Amino acid sequence: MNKFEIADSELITRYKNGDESAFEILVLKYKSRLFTTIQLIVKDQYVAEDLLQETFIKAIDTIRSGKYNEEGKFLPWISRIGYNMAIDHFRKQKRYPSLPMEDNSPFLNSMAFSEDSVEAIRIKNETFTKLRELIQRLPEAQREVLVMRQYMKMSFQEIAEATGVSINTALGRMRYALINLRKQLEKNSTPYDTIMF
Amino acid sequence: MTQLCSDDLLRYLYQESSPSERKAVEKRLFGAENVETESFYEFVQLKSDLDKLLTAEPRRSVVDRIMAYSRRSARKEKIKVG
Repeated sequence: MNKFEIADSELITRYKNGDESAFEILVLKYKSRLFTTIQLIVKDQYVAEDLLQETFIKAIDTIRSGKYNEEGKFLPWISRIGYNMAIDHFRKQKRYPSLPMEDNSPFLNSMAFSEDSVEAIRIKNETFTKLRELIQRLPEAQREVLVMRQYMKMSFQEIAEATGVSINTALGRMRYALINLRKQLEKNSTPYDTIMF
Repeated sequence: MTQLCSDDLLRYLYQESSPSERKAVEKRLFGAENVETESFYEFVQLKSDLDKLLTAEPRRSVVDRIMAYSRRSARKEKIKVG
């Protein structure tokens, strides 16, 4: 947090006291992170948007009813709400959603590649699409830890507690998730290292 | 590859090591026998790519609806208190 940034706990206090703009700052700050987390689980942009909306609504209702008591830990708290909603949805569906995102989806269009050539942009888009697909294909336990650590910013200890496993198991799942992703990316032989960096 | 992405390297990658653990990992990575360095950087690159997926954005209309609900909810509360 930089010195000009207001702490999440302060924003929540302001919102509780009637400052309408305080919650808007939190929405702008975390919408992308939450959206990514949810989308990686449900695999559909429109469902992810609905769930994102429901997540924030649930957070607003909880805060306004005075039941929010996790001051200073807003992101892990709201991430858990979003994550649980996404998992609930996923389990209710009992299948993978059948509508993959198209190449011109906002997900890809929103990436800033202004200084790259058209060919480099195309390859990067393909790589990110592939990476997202590979995350979605990871075994559930591995994907859970990866999403929680990478996008929900939970520590390995917090993940262990949230998922009811030891920290070593959480670390092991993360390790295998990364190794699997790396192997799959290599197998797909996208010119990953040369183009991305 | 498993050996090259051990738990201590993973915690180092995600900045969860203690200062002494960090020193030990750096010694391993950047010391004379830096056999793990190349693989470690592959994971640094992968982590960086995973971060780039965060550029996904919901549509503006979705954000507007959340903001509108938030404002309505705050106003209702004000009326109740008033």
